[in-house]
Amino acid sequence: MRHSDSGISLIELLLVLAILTILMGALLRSMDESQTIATISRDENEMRQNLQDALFLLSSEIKMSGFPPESFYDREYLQSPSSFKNLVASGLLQATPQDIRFQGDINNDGEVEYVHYYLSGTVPPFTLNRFGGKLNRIDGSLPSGSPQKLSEFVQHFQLKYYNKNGAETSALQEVLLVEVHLTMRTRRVDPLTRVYRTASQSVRVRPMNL
Amino acid sequence: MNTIMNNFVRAIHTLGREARSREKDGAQVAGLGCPFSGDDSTTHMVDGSSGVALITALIALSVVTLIGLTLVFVSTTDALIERNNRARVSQAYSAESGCEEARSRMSSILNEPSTPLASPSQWVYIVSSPAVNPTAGSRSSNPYFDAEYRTPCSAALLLSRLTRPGFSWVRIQSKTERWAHYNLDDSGSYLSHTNTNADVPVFFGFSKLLSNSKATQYVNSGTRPAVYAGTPVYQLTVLVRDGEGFRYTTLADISEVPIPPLRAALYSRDAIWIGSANVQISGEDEGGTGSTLDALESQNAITGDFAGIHEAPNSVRPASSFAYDAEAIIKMLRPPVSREIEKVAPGISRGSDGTYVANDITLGELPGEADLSQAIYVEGSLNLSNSKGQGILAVNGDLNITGPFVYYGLIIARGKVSFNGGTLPGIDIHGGVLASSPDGNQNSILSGNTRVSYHAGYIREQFAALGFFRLAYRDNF
Repeated sequence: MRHSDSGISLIELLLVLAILTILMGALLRSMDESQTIATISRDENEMRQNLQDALFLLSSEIKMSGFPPESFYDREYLQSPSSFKNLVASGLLQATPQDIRFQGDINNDGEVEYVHYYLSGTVPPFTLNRFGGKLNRIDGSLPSGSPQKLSEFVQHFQLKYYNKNGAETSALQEVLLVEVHLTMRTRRVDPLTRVYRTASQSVRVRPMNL
Repeated sequence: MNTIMNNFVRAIHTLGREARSREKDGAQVAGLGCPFSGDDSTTHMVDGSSGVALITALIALSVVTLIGLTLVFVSTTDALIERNNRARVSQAYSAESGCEEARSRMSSILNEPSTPLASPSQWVYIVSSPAVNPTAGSRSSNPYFDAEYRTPCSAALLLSRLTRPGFSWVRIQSKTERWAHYNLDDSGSYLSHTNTNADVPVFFGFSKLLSNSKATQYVNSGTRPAVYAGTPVYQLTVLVRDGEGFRYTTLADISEVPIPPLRAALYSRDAIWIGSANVQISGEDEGGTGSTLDALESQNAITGDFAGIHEAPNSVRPASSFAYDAEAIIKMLRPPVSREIEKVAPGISRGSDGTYVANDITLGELPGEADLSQAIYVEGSLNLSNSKGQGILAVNGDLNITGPFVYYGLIIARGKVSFNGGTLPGIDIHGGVLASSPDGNQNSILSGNTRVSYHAGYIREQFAALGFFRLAYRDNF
């Protein structure tokens, strides 16, 4: 008893310190992993939000391609030299699997915008770009400026075009339905699985004025 | 982390087991217990081990909780994103369904005295339920209040016929520049209150004078009624409002399909050759309700046997400067305005060049029989024999007809026509024919017992039977 009452031996102290170190290590490790999980979750949320935003933008703009049609205005007015040249949208201008160009009054302000979505890069992740702007009022020429990067983490982007019979078509004048497929990946690799997390979504859009 | 935690827990358990084992042996356990607690300290040392296990368990629990909370957060965010996305798509479809209901009911609404639309200030609402009244109260008291509704507008309310309409209401009104919020022409700004032109109904139709005229919207004032032939345009505004108060509106323009301005009973941009004295073409209105047209008109030559061509007032007009934009007219008549010929005549065959070949088919029921108008679209050339019909026949190619054939209505071909009536009863068309190949350098041939008699009434009836179609559609965020 006397011996035990004398206090804590060095070995006992070291043992306690060792146990505490292990405990702290485990705690810090778990906190680190929690942070990693939180980070990858944030990444994933960001990716999903980007995916939704990109698809919403794409689908709402494609839906308005071709608006307003020629019939929206008095023909004589359109042919008059004094009329603005950005009043009528030409609709689809290019329709390829990874590239779509069109004209439409996408924000309903009475002026026609030119919009071009395309993919850049040779290997994943690709960058989804949007180049757009109002047509020149005076001569109807294309807008100037730089493209906007919608996402730099695109794994796959594909557009399909369908005619009135539901068959795929590449003929611009036949297109009545556009299908957009978009796959995005997270900014960082998931440290647990060592792979990028991905999310895919498809949407079918019927341009209402084509 | 799991490995470290497992090793750590295993070490603690081992320590505990050793302590208990020594206790049984009567030995004192040195360790984590209180050194000043005397003999009882042995027990306390074992309790000290339990304390470490508790901490371990708490750490493990906190990790699990963190992971769980993260998953819940991710799932909740996903669910919110998905819900917003679903709501947007659902609202877009609901708005479209509102437009479609209004479009399909337009003819009956116009025929109903209780739902007047003659004046731009007379509005009709299709509401989703009797509780929805867009004209009552104010914006603050009525979530469905139409902020554009004001005196002196009058409104008639109709209940939607849909089982569960997704929209709140659809407003139908005659389109004017002021209500459409843009200038259709250069007659002055719609924003100006002194611009009376901005309150004049907008029409959709063709210029009777302009060659290659496409149908267009125009303000039906000034000289327009004399120069243009068209039908009123109605503007639809749809409100979709979900439970959370989000409002989504859509605008659409609808009108009836306007009749192309006819100048002859049979117009062909291509040269016309008449191969028989039994070819009878008359521009006089059979029904007696319309003006008299030329019998034949072409941008090129009209040659052959004129014995059956009626002489009054202008028998034939070759080398005409007038032309139709047949492509635009055919495009306007495409489905859903019309039906594909495959759906009307399921047994129809196609030749190796894509030409449709049909014999003994009915393209709508004749007046005096079942009397059913049928608008038919043919995506390509058509060879027709021994058939009959009533309606509008839009052929996106050449049209060859061999008698017997009887038809009531308008035939439009984006190509040349070749009518061979053969022996009686031959070909008998009551209405009109409009043909135009893209370059106008072909030959349209009329031969055998072929009769084309202009009939304004039948043509008008066929176009009226088409109902309303959508001219333009836009989301209004």
